[in-house]
Amino acid sequence: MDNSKLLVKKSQKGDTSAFEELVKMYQDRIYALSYQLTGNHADAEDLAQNTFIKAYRALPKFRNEADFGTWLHRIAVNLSINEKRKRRPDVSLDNPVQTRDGEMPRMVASDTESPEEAYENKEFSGMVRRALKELSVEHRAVLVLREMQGYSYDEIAVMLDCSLGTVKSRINRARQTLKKEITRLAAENGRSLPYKDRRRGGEKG
Amino acid sequence: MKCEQVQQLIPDWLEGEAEAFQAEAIEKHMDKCAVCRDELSFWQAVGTSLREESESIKAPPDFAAGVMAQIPVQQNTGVKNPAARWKRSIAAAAAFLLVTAGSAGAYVQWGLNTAPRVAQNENLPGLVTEHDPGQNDPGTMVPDPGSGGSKDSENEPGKTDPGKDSREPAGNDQEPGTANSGGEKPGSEKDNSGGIKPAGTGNEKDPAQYVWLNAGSERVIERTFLRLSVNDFSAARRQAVEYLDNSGARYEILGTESTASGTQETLKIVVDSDMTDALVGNLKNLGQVKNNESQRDEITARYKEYVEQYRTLESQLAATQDSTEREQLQVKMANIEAQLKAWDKEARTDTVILQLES
Repeated sequence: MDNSKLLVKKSQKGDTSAFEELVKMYQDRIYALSYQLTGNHADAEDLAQNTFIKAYRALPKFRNEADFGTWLHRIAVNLSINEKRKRRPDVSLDNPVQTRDGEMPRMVASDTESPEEAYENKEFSGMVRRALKELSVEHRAVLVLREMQGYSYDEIAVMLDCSLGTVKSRINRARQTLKKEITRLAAENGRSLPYKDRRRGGEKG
Repeated sequence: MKCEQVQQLIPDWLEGEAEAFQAEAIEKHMDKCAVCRDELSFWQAVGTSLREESESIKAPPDFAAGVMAQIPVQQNTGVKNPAARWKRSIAAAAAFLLVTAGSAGAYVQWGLNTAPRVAQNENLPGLVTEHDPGQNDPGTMVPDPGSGGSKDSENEPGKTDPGKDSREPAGNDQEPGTANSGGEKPGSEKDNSGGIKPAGTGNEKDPAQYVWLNAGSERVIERTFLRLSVNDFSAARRQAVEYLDNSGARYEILGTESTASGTQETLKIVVDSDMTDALVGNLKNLGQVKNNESQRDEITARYKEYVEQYRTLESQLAATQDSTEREQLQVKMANIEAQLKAWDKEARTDTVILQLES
């Protein structure tokens, strides 16, 4: 962490190579967040790049006692909400192959996981991603920050510049919408509430 | 606790964010309620899916280079205030001169081929005369780099430091990235950006044609401010012009003031870096040195870094057939090229602001 503070300080003095180090340090986190927020790689790359460029311009305003990573997350989330980015349904989250490493299943198969279970897990993850994509930008942003990035309600409130109450109710509504959406997708796939069976070792749909 | 309440709290409880009394109630409830256990399984699975996704996504390999390639572009569109302090002082001096001089007739013409014209810079409203011994192109203050980079070997900034008062490069308290863009232009910013083709644009050229020579050699942008008090203004002025002509310098008059008590004139001089020392040394002999400051911006490291970026993009360009990608790469390369050229040009010359007063 101290290293990043030093690099921020250097960057603030116009040292672009220090800033490049910062980009390299945070690029995976910001890119992953951007992907979660936008739902496809093309928009994710734009958003992540714009986040760093905006951060560079705003560096003089950054107080170094704050966490640089959190600050970047905040910029990314606000950019994604403000720009109301266009969705590209053709390059969507439900595509099973989304990693750059190729055909990797989302759920890492554990030793005890049967091939069927692994498939189910993968299928379920696909549904979660598709459902997430159906949410509004605002709902998706709070869920991503909370569930994927692990920010507290307070931190999210600061990031989005709204009250704690707003964040709580927004996350609640987002979760309900997500659940409804997953249930709908499960039904479409001919699976009645797959989560019922997942942890029980019962019948597989 | 009722199912509805429990279900609402489950996600927070899973993340350890429920209050202790709530957690206890939830646990008790779970023991006896299958519906809520299903709900718990559901959110566990959702959480796992979401978090695993975050871990598996990585930025593309050339991501950082892509970001950095866009930063010089942002720089150039930023506020051009690197030598803000000097600019302010020059602008103030010029404004003072204009007020007291009153009319265009008070401007002293230096040299025979001087063409008076109106300056476009908002900081310096009023008339500016410009003298250009080398070319008949009053719109170009800074020599065109021509073949680009070919004069690098002449640039020995180490010996061009006339200042006893060298300071750190400007920019600590400014928006980063603007430190080297346009700082030498207190009087003719418009001319420099509009009159010379390669600076700031470069998109029209095939970027692959530009060859970076001596990428690692030292590059310094140097600015000097010299204020002299002279006894005989006319004689000193004549002598100054002779020195300027002999050193191949180009200059413009930023302002002149004549009053009963004396005359003051401010010039902006652009001279090849290797001539700066001799020129400033000569100018100092014209009278008593009232003020002599210089400012050095060391850009060697950044220059090198940009050349490396350029080469990375170049190899990416060679490796791809995708036309959209090629276009993007070429735009990035052109931007880097424009910045490098601007630096090359600035590094080969120094700017001297000379104020003569009697």
